[in-house]
Amino acid sequence: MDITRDARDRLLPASIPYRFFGLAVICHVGAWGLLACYGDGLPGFIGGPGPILAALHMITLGVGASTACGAAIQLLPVASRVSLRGVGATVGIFLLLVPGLLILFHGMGAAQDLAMEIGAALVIAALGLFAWKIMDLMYRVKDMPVPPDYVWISSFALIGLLSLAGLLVADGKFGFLPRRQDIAAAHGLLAVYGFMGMLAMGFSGILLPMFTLGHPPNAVWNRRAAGLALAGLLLSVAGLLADQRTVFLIGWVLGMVAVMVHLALMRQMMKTAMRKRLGPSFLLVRLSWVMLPLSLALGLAAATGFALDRSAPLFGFILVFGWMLSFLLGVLQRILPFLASMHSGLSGGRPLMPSAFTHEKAAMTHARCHFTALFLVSCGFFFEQGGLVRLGALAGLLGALALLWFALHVWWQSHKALRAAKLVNIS
Amino acid sequence: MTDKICFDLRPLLARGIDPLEEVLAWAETAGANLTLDAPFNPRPLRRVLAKKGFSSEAIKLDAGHWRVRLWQEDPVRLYDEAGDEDCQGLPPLEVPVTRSGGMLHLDLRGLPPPRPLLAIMRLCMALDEALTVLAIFDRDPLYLFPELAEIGWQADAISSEPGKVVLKIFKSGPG
Repeated sequence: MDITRDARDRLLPASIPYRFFGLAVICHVGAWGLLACYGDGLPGFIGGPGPILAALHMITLGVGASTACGAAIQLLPVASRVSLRGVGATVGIFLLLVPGLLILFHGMGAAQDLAMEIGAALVIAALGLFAWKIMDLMYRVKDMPVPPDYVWISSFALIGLLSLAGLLVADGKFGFLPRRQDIAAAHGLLAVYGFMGMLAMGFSGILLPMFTLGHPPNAVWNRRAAGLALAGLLLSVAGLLADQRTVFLIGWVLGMVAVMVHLALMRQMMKTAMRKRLGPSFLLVRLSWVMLPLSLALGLAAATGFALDRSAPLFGFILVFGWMLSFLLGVLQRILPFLASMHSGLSGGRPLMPSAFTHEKAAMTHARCHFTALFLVSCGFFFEQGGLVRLGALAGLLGALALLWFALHVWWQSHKALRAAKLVNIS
Repeated sequence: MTDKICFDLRPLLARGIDPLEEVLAWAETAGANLTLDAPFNPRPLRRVLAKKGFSSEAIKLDAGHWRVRLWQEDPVRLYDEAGDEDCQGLPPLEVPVTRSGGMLHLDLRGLPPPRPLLAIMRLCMALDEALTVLAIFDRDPLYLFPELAEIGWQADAISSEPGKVVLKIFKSGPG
């Protein structure tokens, strides 16, 4: 396989996206591990420092933001035909992110303000640099029909959520925010529905048709979904920040309409998919499509005060672990072998099949454990049984270890393929 | 099957004439086979066409020269199976496929990602015989190589220049 220099410029060295994906896989183990130890407190959790907050951020920042960084810096230049300027900055992002996350998780888990402040400052710097690199790239994109709207909204949501994160950390020290709970909720909405949600919806228009060989989403309706999602996000966040319940609810309903349009587009794509055996990764993606509207329905229930004790914490769990984590892990299961295959052909030989890098048993074990974990933890919430939550978290931990095994398998097979290609080139 | 129509808007715009009505009339006639040349990226026009069910992609070819390709979202069979016996039995694609010299030829330039990849994969998965496909892309289709490998096909670059990459795509031999 010979590729042009221009294409080589757009394809980063494999080590760059893989280090972010590796970080995500390790944080995934850490989050379920923490919940397996301290999950009793999850059903009544309404915020505040402790192991639950640390576990939550291990998923949102450790898995979510790391995967977003790895995927965006590798996939956007290829999809947009524009090279990422200053590839060294991606190393800087990683070097700020890793210590930042470690210190932040420690600070949150042990309720140490100073550690939380230092960790948050490093993470904000890392993700701020990431937002700047992505916006710089998008500014130079001449024309890319589907994802730009989503990527721009995601980038602005990232800046918004980082600003609110800074405010929340400062408030922990000085206590100046009048409605901290609402600011924290707006921060969460911008993080999961805004930053991660928009990126997920945008990449779904390119990656998922590629993996399923189905028709890409209708460009006009995809853009309408992006517009609705933007309006929904802005109104919901503004409603929370300005304490305007009606504005918040209008935004929420618009968000639900956007999600329905997105899911209809995804359904259409799946109906036309030529590849029928999609493996465990698409079990997770399909699960995420069920969890996304469910999270919105639970959020609406919590916002209107319906069974608040159960609906509010269950909303947070279904949103973060049910939708976001299921989607990201499904994509990771597919993208890790795919990138390995792409890089295996760069040295001039025929690329190895993505399935040659896939450990099917590990992938299936991970998917089964993830389903079990979601079911048991949700039951734990519903019946307010901490023991069930911990049992579910144990299943999640087992699944996370299976995913770690899967990732190590990809790494080992890539290593072997590269070594073999070098030997062929020498001889 | 309608012929491909390339409509140069630059002379009209240079004379200060709004080409909107003419473009709409051409779009009705030519369907998805319309390509426009313009001195700038005609975003307002593209928005009007989008409301009529056309998606579009604009590529800057040179200073003051943009090319806009239009296509309709519901994939339309752009080649006529009945009129082209050689290409019977191929799946519906968004670009014409011709056969000459024992090879299938298709030009995928101007299609936005991931449509070129999908077109090649649909074609290769539908081919029973070991035909060779000669495809023109406007850039190296990096994501295509792993997907081809997965179904036992591979690609070799025939030529590569800015905006035009020609690949020979064929079934892999054993080993």
